[in-house]
Amino acid sequence: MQLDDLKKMTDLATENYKPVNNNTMELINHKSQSALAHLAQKIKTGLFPFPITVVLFSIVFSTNAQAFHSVLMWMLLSILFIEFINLLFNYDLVKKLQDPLGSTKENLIAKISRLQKSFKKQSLVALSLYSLMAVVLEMVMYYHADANFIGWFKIPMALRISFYCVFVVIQFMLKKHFYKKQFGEHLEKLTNLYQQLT
Amino acid sequence: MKEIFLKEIQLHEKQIYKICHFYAKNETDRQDLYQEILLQLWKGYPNFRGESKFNTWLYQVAINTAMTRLRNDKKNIHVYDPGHLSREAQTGDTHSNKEELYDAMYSAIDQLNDIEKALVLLFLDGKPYSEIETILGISEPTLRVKMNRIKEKLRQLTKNI
Repeated sequence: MQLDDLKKMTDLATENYKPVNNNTMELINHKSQSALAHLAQKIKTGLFPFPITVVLFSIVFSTNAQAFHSVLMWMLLSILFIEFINLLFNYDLVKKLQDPLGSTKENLIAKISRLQKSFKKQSLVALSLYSLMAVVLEMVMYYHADANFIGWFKIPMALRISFYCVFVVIQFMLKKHFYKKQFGEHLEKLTNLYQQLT
Repeated sequence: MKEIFLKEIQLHEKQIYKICHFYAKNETDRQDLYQEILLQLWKGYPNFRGESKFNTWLYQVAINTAMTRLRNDKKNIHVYDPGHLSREAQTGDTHSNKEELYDAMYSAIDQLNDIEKALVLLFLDGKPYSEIETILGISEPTLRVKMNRIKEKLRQLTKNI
């Protein structure tokens, strides 16, 4: 049997088709059960603790003047803020990856490009913010020594810079690992589909 | 808007089912995919401006959804149901030889990659190359070459029948 013969038979089959009559209304009111929808939900759940933490920090800052002037507290808050931005990026990416509009080729190109660019963008933002944090920490300590960091500032500057670099590299590696875990399979699938197109 | 959408879906549900039969391997997976396609169509419907036929737009959304999705349940191992595609195409003729031919042909189609399956699906639906170009974004000359290759591939896969 050839595909052309099958086409003739399928055309004939069209006449015998009986509608299934699924309840479309009910189906479109359900939440998506796709892998991306689950990932979006997971990221969204991960976003919730951040505003709560900010509120907690605000309470601590308003009630404890010492905490307000603590470099360590501001550092923790900055790290939380950077990671919050990172999660927001991921959430936005997952939402965009669910877009099925456009021709298959356009759709694949857009999604692959988004996945590839997103990690670069996230890494750059994290690198800039963490570097800025290190610079601010150095400057603050230069003008206003914090009790929590006196020991830290007894370490030679070259060693401190090395530590900042190691920290940036480790957070980069961790982000890369989690990004691959979350989006690696998607990127692989989309790239494979694109190769099939060409 | 909801009423118009529901009417359109009613008119085109067969196409959605066909896509589900091509891209899902068991009943549960097929139902999940059907719902996912409906959801995506409903979400995208406000952006449908009628620049192309509804049917063409539906195929774009449905094929993109079916092809790019990852199954969230990794334990859902595919059990190939050899007749899952053929039953839908049966003409009511109970001749077992014909059924066997159907099964063999559809088993062969099932061995094609996702893009090739989409091409076969659109071909079987009688879509002209110009419309397939709009749906898949592959130029007409490339489509013709691909289609010839697919026909040859299927011929090879079913040559012993």
